[in-house]
Amino acid sequence: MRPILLKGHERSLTQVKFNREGDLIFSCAKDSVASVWYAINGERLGTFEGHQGTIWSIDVDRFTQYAVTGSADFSIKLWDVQTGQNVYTWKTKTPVRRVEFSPSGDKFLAVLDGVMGYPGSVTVYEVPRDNQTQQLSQEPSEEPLYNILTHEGFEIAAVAAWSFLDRYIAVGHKDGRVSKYDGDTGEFIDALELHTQSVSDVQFSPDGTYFITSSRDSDAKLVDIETLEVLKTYETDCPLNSACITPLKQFVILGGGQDAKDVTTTSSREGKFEARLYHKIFQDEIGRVKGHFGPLNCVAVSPQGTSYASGGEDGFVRLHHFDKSYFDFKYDVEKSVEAQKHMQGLESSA
Amino acid sequence: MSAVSVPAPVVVENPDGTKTIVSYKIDNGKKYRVTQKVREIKVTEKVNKSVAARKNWHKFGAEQNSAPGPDYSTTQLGEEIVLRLGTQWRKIEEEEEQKAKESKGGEKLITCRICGGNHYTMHCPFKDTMGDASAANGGAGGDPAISGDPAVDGGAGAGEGEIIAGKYVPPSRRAGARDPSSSNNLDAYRDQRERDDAKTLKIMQLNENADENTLRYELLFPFGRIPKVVVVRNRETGRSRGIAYVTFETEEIAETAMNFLNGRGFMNLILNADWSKPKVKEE
Repeated sequence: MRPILLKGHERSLTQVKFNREGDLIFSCAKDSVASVWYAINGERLGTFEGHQGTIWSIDVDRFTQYAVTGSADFSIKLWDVQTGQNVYTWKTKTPVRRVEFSPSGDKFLAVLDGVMGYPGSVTVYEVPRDNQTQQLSQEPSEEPLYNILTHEGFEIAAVAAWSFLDRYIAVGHKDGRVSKYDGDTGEFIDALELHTQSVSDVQFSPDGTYFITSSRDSDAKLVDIETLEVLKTYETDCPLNSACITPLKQFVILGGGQDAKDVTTTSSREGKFEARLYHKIFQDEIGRVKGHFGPLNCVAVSPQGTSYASGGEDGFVRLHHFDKSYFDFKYDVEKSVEAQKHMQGLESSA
Repeated sequence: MSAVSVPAPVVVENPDGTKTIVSYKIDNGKKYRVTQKVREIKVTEKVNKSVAARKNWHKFGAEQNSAPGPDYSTTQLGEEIVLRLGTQWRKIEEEEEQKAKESKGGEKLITCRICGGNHYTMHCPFKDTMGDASAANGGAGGDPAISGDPAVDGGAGAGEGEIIAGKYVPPSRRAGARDPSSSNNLDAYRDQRERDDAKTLKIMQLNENADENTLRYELLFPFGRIPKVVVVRNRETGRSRGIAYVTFETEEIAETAMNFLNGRGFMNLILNADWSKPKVKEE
């Protein structure tokens, strides 16, 4: 496996994302320019220029028509992916920590920071589209569709994500809680005390029925969205910044490492700046991928499950296309079950 | 040999759709003719329509004027990573690390002739004592004659003690070392040199053809044992620059030698001898 290094950013990465077909990678960093890359060879397609501050988050809709970025300059920008033009800009009251398109692509959520007297919120904006061309059918509204202010007694939201069919929004809070809201109205449904420290990432499974959370308390957890039941727990030895669920194989990839402010005091060996692969079902650590010189701030896996990208505090994106050993790996129990099935198949056909 | 020209490759299209390429190359001084038969096949790869469309998009933003294909300044290939999946990955990795360590430790590339340690001989007394303490101990016990300079000896002894304690102490912090930031503005190494300078002469106007042995046996033989003679040479051509530094056994002998040599003719030239002075660098 030979990684491709994407060195387009001048500062540490904040998020990487694949589009639905997995042929483009979107990355943003603490410099104010976001980049789009071809996944196949790491060629940069272009940059989105216009923000005045750190871009905390980026997402692309399922048609790869528009990308949305949320920035610390109090704005959210909508970009035409093909031309790199800024289509629309929403002004916000506070810095934007996270943006994500809903699976339908006609709205997106934005996590607004709780500073300057603002309590913090998850705010949902609409992107009105033409049904045929998926282009904007009219100028988007400056006003949000709805606004989920931070729930009484909870700390502010750090991350949020959409479930299947835009039905729910899963929100990870700074106090380690995970809460669930109705995706149409923004009504509070349920909450769960999941982690002991801030939730650093929430990413849904390919079918959107369960999600993985990562936390600074070194754990990652798999949670069902309907019942908010904890399905699996993955324990590591370092604070986690990001986690994702791989399609195709039953793995999860966790990224993290020592806190960025402590990096200079340790060697890269001690810092544990590696992506960790865990088996999703058995919860065993099955491998690590080295390479970054700083903590991993974000990991993303392509929807096809054939490659993954990680963005680090060191300012690089490392894009890995999995090789054969990854696809071939199976537990002994899996192999024996397969062999059994194969034998039964032979018997029944005989 | 490489100047021998080879004919340009010839490509012949065969009637069955294949191509025959005849090329020539020179390897190890021999000329080879290479005949290759090639069939060109178009491989069609099926991709999503939208993916194919996106491949033809024009670049924008910072990449607007870039040529097609990855730019080396933003896209580079990393080093090969071996991803070995399995529940035992940690054990395997540790074993490999252990093996690597052992092979490194067992292999001694440099051996000192005096103490057998892992460094160049260069007037050993345990040359800044690193590494194998047992070897250094054995060497010191077996041959007391090597303890020449008491200062160096003391330093080495202290170094051994620290190695046994298991912690590395830089030479400047070892017992006997002087504080480099002290008022005399000369570090420990410079001090050592100064001691030598007291009994070292600088002899100038030497004949270019006079090398160390000539000086030892034809000019300096009356002055007893000469520990060190160095002729200054041009680094590139190796020719003598007519200057030599000679260290004598004692300062008295050095002084006698200076009086004797200064103004004396040697190999058709009149010598100029003086105390060698430590070079003071301009700041």
